[in-house]
Amino acid sequence: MKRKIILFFLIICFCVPMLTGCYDYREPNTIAYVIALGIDKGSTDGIYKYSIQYARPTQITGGASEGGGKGEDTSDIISIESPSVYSAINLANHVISKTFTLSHTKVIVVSEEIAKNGISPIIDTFGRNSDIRPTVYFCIANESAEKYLSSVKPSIEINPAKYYELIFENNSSSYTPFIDAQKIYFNYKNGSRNNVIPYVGAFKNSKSNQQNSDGQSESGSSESEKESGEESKNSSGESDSNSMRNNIPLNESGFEYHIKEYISGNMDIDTSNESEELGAAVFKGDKMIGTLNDIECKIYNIINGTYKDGYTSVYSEYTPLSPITILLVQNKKPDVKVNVKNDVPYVYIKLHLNGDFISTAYESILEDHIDGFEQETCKYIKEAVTSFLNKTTKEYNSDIFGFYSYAKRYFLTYEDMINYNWEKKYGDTQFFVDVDFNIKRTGLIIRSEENTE
Amino acid sequence: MKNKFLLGKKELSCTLINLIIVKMLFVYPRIMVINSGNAAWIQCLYVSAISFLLYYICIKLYEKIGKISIMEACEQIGGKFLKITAGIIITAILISNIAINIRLLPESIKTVLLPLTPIELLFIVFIIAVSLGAFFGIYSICRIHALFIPVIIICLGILFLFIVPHADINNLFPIFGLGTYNLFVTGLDSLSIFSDILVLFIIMPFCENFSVAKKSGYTAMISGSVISFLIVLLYVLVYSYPTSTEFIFPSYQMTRLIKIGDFFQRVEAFFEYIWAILMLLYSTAYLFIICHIWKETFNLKYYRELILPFIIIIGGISFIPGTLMELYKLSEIVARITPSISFFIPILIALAYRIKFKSKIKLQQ
Repeated sequence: MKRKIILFFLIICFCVPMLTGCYDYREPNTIAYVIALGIDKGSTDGIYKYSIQYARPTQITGGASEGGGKGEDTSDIISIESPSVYSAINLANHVISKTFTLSHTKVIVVSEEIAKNGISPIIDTFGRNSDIRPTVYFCIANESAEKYLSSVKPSIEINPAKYYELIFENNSSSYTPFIDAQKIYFNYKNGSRNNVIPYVGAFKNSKSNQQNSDGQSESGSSESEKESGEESKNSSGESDSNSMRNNIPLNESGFEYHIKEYISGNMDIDTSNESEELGAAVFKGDKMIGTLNDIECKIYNIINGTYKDGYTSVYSEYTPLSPITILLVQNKKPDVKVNVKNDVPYVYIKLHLNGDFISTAYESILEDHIDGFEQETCKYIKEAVTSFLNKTTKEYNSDIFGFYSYAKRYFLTYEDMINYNWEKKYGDTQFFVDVDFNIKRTGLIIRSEENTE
Repeated sequence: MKNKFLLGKKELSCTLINLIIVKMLFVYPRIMVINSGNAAWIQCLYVSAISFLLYYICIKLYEKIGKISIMEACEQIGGKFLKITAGIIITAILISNIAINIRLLPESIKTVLLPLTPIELLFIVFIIAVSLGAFFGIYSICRIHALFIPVIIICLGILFLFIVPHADINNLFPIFGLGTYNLFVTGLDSLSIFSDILVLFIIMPFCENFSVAKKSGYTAMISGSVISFLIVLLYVLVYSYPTSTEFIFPSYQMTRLIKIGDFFQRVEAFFEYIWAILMLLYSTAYLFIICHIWKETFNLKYYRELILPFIIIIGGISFIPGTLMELYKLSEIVARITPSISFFIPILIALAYRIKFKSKIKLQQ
């Protein structure tokens, strides 16, 4: 009994100091949450300019319906030059009262300039540290990462973190690829696939951008002069913008017929939010070698099997004047077979797609020509896919679909696989595409010539 | 015997399963991937099959010895000298095993959970808990194992189910990974996963009967093999080679991928809880067994007085590697040495016993 009492007191004595909390505690009200991290080239080599976008929780509280702050008020940006992310965080900790943490970071934005020189010096950080989520979104900014982050002014979202979540993880936004920081690191490290990373940017000719540049150039002039200058420049800006709108090429192929070939930074859409997330940056190894526009991204997602659904405009010989809009759905991942028995790799792809009519033209009753329309669409999809695949071999010579990982099953050991020299042979790859496309539904209307007569 | 309670099949099996699988939740999948590349799952199957065979031989030979501990058998064969020699060798093997693993938990907690907390503080809290556990004895330890292990296995199963969508079948190829030599020759180093089966021959007297011990061993070997195989297979499916060679804690790394909608993220926190419980139970069982062997070797009356000196020795040894990298190197060396001794000690002793008491065994038959 005596021993039990002593033991009981010992346990109590041991537990009491534990209840007071640790000396190295971190309370939520002492932490500043980094939402997004922008990385631009610094003033000297080996130095980067880190733009830390952090949340201002006091502005977010209450939610949209209860009068929280505006999208632009809910976050702030600090820009610091430093050799690494964590040294930038260290410095930033001296600028604001709270301690920065990357545990809730949603997106990492890297400038195109850095991407073209190679991202290997920075991606290691995102795989090594446990406080950064492996599923953090990663994207390339067309100009500077800082500019993109500053341009993010969500109009219907108060919480900027939610905005990034919705933008980068939207099942229906097929015009961007989806990839997270960890996958980028794996792909680079394994060499079995080259990365395709979302391409983002701030609209180059937006009204507010012009106003900002005007404000900077004429800061010394009087207010009236400023106003008049603003007007004149705005009008010139409008004309620039208009000329740019005219320059955006129209897609003339049957798949995504007459859709403009947009990419972040050249969209002609008027909105108060200047940020754009459209298109993708193509990598070879750790270096960015090109970009994909919206339509190419959609094809990339379809081949990759990451496409879910989306409205698609298709040309039809039955209605040459007006394209048909279908809801294109990919329910099953493509069947991919790679044959490496010969010196030239052969890749066989079978796509499984189906669609619903969303809008058709009144000039022809498509319901009577479903088979013809399906065949026609198959042909357009096949053409678009083959042409895009050939672009990856001829223009980029970059295996962005990871066909190498399918080729692995033909080798017995890792050594055999390395000896095959896939990277060199990928440029000669021959593709055989087959498309299985069916119209499943016609919407709420079903017409036939018999009934019309 | 003072305690009327004897270890049943459930208690013993759960304890042995924990001793086997706890290593798979820490560094072993990585060690296997480094050795065989993406064919680590084949290595796991191969090593399991060999371990099973070795255990079968051990238990067949040991059948004639009956429900006595390996130390007692040593004494009957070669007197006190053999008993003390065997006792010291077994203690050394167990200390080398536990010293590495007892350091791993505080190191992992510091790496993933409490980066600012000094490792010494984490370690002290951990060894206090381990010492307390060992103090309560084998029955309490095994009963707690029987309580926790089934629940933990179910939880692990659920956690790993959520990782399945991240798996890619192409990661299994090329089928032989880094080659057949690595797979079937150097891959034998991984036998140490099952080396803890040696413990069964030490705690034999605490079992209900020999048959219970034998069946528990088989259950533990089969369950341990299946769980180990599934962990390695999943790891190989999720992370392709050579990326898979980089992660210090493969199982933890996999759980970091789990994201169930917007609300269930950071599920790895739950996994860390499982980690801590399993390692605590493992270390507790090990510390008790070491003290028990020492007690038996030198015919001491009590084992509890040995807990403090042994935990200090183990703690001291575990801090010999200055860094985590050194700890890994040491764990690789230990992994190469221990399996041969762990499996061959019971075989050798059982063989010697059979030879010495041939006539007695015949008489029994």
